[in-house]
Amino acid sequence: MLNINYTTKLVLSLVIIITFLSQKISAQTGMDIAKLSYDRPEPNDMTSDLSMVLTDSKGRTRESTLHVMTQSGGEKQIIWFLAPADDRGVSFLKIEYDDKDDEMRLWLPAFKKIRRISSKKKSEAFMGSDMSYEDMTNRDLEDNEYTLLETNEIVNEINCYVIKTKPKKELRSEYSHHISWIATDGLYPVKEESYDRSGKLLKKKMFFSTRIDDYFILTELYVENAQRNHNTRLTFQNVILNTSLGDSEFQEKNLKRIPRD
Amino acid sequence: MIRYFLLFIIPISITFSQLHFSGFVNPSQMYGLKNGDTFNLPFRFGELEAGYSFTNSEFKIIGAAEHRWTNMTTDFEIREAYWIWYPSFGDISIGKQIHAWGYADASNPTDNINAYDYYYLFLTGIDRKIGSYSASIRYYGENWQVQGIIQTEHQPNRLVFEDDFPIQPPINPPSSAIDDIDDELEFGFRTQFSFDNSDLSISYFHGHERMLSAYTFNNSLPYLTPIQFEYRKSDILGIDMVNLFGDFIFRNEIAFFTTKSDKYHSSADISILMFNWTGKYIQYVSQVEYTGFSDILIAAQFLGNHTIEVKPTFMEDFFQGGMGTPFANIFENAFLISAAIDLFNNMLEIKPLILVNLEDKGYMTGCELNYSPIDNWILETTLNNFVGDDELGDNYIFNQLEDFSHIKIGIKYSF
Repeated sequence: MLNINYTTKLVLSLVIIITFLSQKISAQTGMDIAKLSYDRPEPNDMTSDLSMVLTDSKGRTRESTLHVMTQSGGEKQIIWFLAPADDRGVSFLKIEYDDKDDEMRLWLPAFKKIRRISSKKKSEAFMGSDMSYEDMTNRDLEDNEYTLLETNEIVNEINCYVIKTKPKKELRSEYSHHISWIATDGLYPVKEESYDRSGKLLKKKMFFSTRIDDYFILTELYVENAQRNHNTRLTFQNVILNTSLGDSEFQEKNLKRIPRD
Repeated sequence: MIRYFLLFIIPISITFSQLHFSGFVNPSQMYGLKNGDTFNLPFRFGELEAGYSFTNSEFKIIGAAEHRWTNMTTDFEIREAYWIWYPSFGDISIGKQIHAWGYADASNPTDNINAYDYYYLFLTGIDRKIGSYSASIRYYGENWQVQGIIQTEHQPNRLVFEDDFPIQPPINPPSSAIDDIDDELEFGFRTQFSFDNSDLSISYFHGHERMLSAYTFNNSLPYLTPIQFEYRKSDILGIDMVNLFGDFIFRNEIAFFTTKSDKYHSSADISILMFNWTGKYIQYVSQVEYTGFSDILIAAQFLGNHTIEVKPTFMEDFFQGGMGTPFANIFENAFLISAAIDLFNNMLEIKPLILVNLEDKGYMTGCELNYSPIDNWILETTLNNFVGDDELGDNYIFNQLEDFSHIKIGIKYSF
């Protein structure tokens, strides 16, 4: 019978306790990082012009020009398509709610109708892009589980936390999990890999942010669908922050009015 | 006309930055599937929209050119010309305009404000509707909105009386046989409520039917020859809903029509028979949508038309409603299934559809292919094939439509 003396028992106990506590700290830290990123300072509202370039596996491209207004970190969003000419006038309104399903409406000038569309079909692509409706929706902290994987990994010369985000089952997400790189200074997203329900890599996203006033503002987003070999590049231009956009700007009635210069 | 146009455009050009133009050019040709012959029917060659925006207002004018290849004639028309103001509570618009009610696609029993242009019956959206002089006011509340519309003149459907088009009334009466409407004022309102996963609308419209109906006949029994026509009064109560259930979207509409003769008067002339029509009928559309694999949108739709009551009762078989969605009047009860598929980076759009007549044998299969290799350019190909039943005779609509089976080829440039 192995005779384990008191000192050895004490050391083993401490190792077990420290290992257990380290894991607990790591899990909490993952959530903490996510919360810090979620709570980072953001402008009350933002207006910008957006160029969206879709590129397929054969290198063929389609470019659209959009005008976007957002409020409350994207909880309210209204988008007008300005080009190409056959899409001009189409507009989209999204309002996120905490206590009920998000509301999405599409204005189709050719029909002079506002169509209510489903926010439940999260995997549906937005206007043929690699962004799904789920990608365009803010993630609520409580809807996901977070694990810190790394505390200091460098991406594009930026020090990053690496966290794993796993949507809870009731969310019916199209993703099983995401691996996200969050800048340690500024807590904005830098890179993300999203995996489908079977655990295979589905999308790679690169976020390029620029400091404007006191905020790190997303000015370019690259999304690649790894399974379809198709990508979308979004470039934000003419960004204007905090112009006191009211709730009335994000109403159905404004879908029909293309913003003029 | 040109002088007035120039006098109007010069002050506008001073503030050029608020003037905007858009439109398209869309030459096309239809070929019969049976013999390859072209159809002598007009089509919209192009459309130009000009708008002038200032503060919270906008003036819009949309003109179209309708062309006929056989005699190379082009007619120009102003499809819409209206002023719209956007106050804080909603919008107010006045002028010649097209309105659109109803949540379903393509067939809307509750949408009766504007007449239909039957030359463009197989197009979608507002392309097949005729603008009317009207005023509209819309008020938006928290989760509701209400719209009121008033229009000062009656606009009938533009019907086709040409050999190449199968959907046409049996008689084209002279204008002397059509009674004028004494009071052309039409009005309606629609109110919409939004809930968590649903929108509900209730609407009412009062006006005159868009199709003629005969109310005076030669008394030459057993055959009655219509000799005098009217546009009957019509009141429509509409209910439509959109419901979101998981991955499915349901869009439903039902409209209750009450129609009565406007011109009936008692007469001692025994050589004529005059009927004081009253009729009640309903039309409904029930649609379900699902977006599946690769974002393919699939939609299935039931549409129907059901007569509830007609007086005089012995004329029930001859009663035809003159309002509502044309396809419910034409097909009575039909089932339609369609899809929309985008391929090759949205360069190719494929839209197949099947429409099946549920009353008798007969169906339509169609497919629309739109190929856009360059931004703003689209090569359009539309195939529509109708199959009837010889046992049902030449007057059966699907047998008449068989000769209209066609392929349409066009090119569209948008600017």
